[in-house]
Amino acid sequence: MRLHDDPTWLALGHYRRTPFGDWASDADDPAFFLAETGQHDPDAELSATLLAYFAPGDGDEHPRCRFPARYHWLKSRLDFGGSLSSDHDCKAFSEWTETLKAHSVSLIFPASYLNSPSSMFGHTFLRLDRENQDENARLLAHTINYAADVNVADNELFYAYRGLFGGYPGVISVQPFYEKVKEYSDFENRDIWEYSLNLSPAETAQLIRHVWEIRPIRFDYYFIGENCSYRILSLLDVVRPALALREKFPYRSIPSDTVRAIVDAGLVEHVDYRPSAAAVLNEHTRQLTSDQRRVARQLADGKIALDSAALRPMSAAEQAATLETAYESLRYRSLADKLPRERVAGLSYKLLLARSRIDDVSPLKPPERPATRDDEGHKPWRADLGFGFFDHTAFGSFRLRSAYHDLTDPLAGYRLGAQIKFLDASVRYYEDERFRVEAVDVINIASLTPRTEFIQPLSWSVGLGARRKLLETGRPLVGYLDGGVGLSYSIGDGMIFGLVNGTLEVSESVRPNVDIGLGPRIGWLYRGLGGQGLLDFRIDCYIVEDEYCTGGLRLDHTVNLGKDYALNLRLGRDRGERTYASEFLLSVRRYF
Amino acid sequence: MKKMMTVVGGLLLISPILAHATSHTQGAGPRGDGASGCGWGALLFDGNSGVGAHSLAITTNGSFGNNTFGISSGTNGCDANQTIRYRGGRMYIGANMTKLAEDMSRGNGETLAGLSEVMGIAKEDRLAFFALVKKHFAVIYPRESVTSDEVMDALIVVMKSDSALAKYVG
Repeated sequence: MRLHDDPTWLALGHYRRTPFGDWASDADDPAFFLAETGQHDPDAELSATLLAYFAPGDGDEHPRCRFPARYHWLKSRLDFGGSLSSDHDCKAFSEWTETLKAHSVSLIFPASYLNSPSSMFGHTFLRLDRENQDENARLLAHTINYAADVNVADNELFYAYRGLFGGYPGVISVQPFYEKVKEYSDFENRDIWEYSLNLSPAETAQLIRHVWEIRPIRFDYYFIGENCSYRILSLLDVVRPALALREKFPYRSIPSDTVRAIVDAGLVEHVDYRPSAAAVLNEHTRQLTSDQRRVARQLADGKIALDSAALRPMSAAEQAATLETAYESLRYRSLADKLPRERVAGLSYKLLLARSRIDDVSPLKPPERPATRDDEGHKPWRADLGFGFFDHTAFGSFRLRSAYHDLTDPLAGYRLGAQIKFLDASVRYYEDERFRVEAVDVINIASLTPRTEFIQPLSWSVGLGARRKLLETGRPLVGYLDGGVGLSYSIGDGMIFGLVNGTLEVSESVRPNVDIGLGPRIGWLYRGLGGQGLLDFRIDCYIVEDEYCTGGLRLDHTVNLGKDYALNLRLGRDRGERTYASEFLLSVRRYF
Repeated sequence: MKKMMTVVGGLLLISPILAHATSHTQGAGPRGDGASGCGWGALLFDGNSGVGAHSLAITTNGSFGNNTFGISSGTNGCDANQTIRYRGGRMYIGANMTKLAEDMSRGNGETLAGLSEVMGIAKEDRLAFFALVKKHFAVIYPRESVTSDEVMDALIVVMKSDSALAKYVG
């Protein structure tokens, strides 16, 4: 093999085959290439690099110091005669590595956010661990984070447009891990998975050299394709080119998918779990007795004083636990509700001071690590094949979803009550030889978070797409935009929710062309019978022109069959405008 | 219908992005505690306004300048190298004021362990260190409006008065 075709060289240059069969680098910056045609020509870039390395001169700006990873690799493949320098002749670079002290690498994956299904996509970055790093010193390690350099002034549409089409540059930043933990655990309430990778110290050093090379280079950031997780795969490809991780994600890199690929590639040595502040609070409140919970709540609300008689019957350890939980609750609320510092600082301080005066250790235990990690749940694509009856007419059904998780999909690795669906379409073939699009969900998000004494979020849902509407005259396809808001409460290991829903419907074939519906929706999400399910009742009363109400009662139950398959049963009874219909649908689901 | 499909199509392209994007707009929300480790005189329980505002700049602004670490210098007196070298704990305390207060009040915790690491406290002295800061919590954090510099100074005084730990602040 010629050197410029070597997978390592191609990874170092971030080259990818284009659909036309030639090469193109993901780097969108002439500063990354020493050859004029370097972006499209790995061969010319290799020659130019070698020439540049032997050019006279030295110092930080010399190509040897600008591109130390290429240099290191080429030196290992070619005989440079021992005359040329090593890392140590590059002052800025060697200072940088000296400060980072990277000995091994961990992949960090902040999982989805308690009350934000959109965070389900997650984020990934790298942590540089030191040699013999103490468990307690992880916070001090540095992280390498790749993110879009967004302009905060951009409005959302513009932001989305630029994000999709690469209008933002990606930026690499190096920050202490404690900053990232604050950001994800405390402010966003996301659990963090930490995967220590089995990169050797030599591989780690080469990865760092390469980060140095691309650090000032512009790579356009694409939220779906060339995102944070994709860039991490490209770094791993540099040190383990045989894995060819990038090739597995030509179009879209959902962070949890990339984590799965990294695990499957055998790169992971072991995994640690770091619960979010909200997870800690929930677990601590669970461990308190109901009396202690009440006192903690009153303390956090400032309703009783810290020397209150309510604390006195408790043992010192119980007092410690109550005060700690009260503080955690107040801290959670002040961050979640963005309370001004003046309102919470006085009470927060008093709670800490009171806690410090109790010698005993509190008996509170941290949350246990979930049995299934976020990268171990079902995969995001889903195909359903089924048959059923609609109003006594038999049909066969096919449904395809691009991502991500539905309320009734297997729960392991996901959060109960969190749903996010992109591009979910189903078609049916009826026995009377009609072929029909049943529904197209463009996006559908539900965030049902149970309220507790301490955490009181709103539940909400939004949906956009097209669906069949039951009328006396038939079932035309109408476009819809749904939004609902309400409350959820845990019951058993499931939850009940109630939402007030608004619907906007648009259609050319139905009069009126635009209609608005309002009404309640209540549901019960349960676990059991081999899986999980949803019992759901909704009413929509339409208010434009004809006033009438429609409604539906639906049971949607899924039996989980291993990791990649499930069986789904749907039973529904719908009331349309002056008509009723029943539905039965049994389908097999495959996740991939 | 056609028009609707165009709108739907447009939203289809955009919506996943809006959602995904949230994982990258770090910094838009509150940060606090002398965000990104650059807050000299960081305040306890800060985090909902003020200091947090500049952290987006730090997350996203850097990297194109001459800073070794891609953190803009000159933002609130934030020097890229200092975040890395901790300067014997002063920087670390500034960046972790609130979590450190919580850990000290309990006499344990990862943030407190991190401080002992930064200050170079040997393993065998750590339990004594944890107990000392808990006992003197009211001295180290004397009031809610204490700043990180005062915390560091008080911590040094407290440690100097302890025979086993004085050697770390000599």
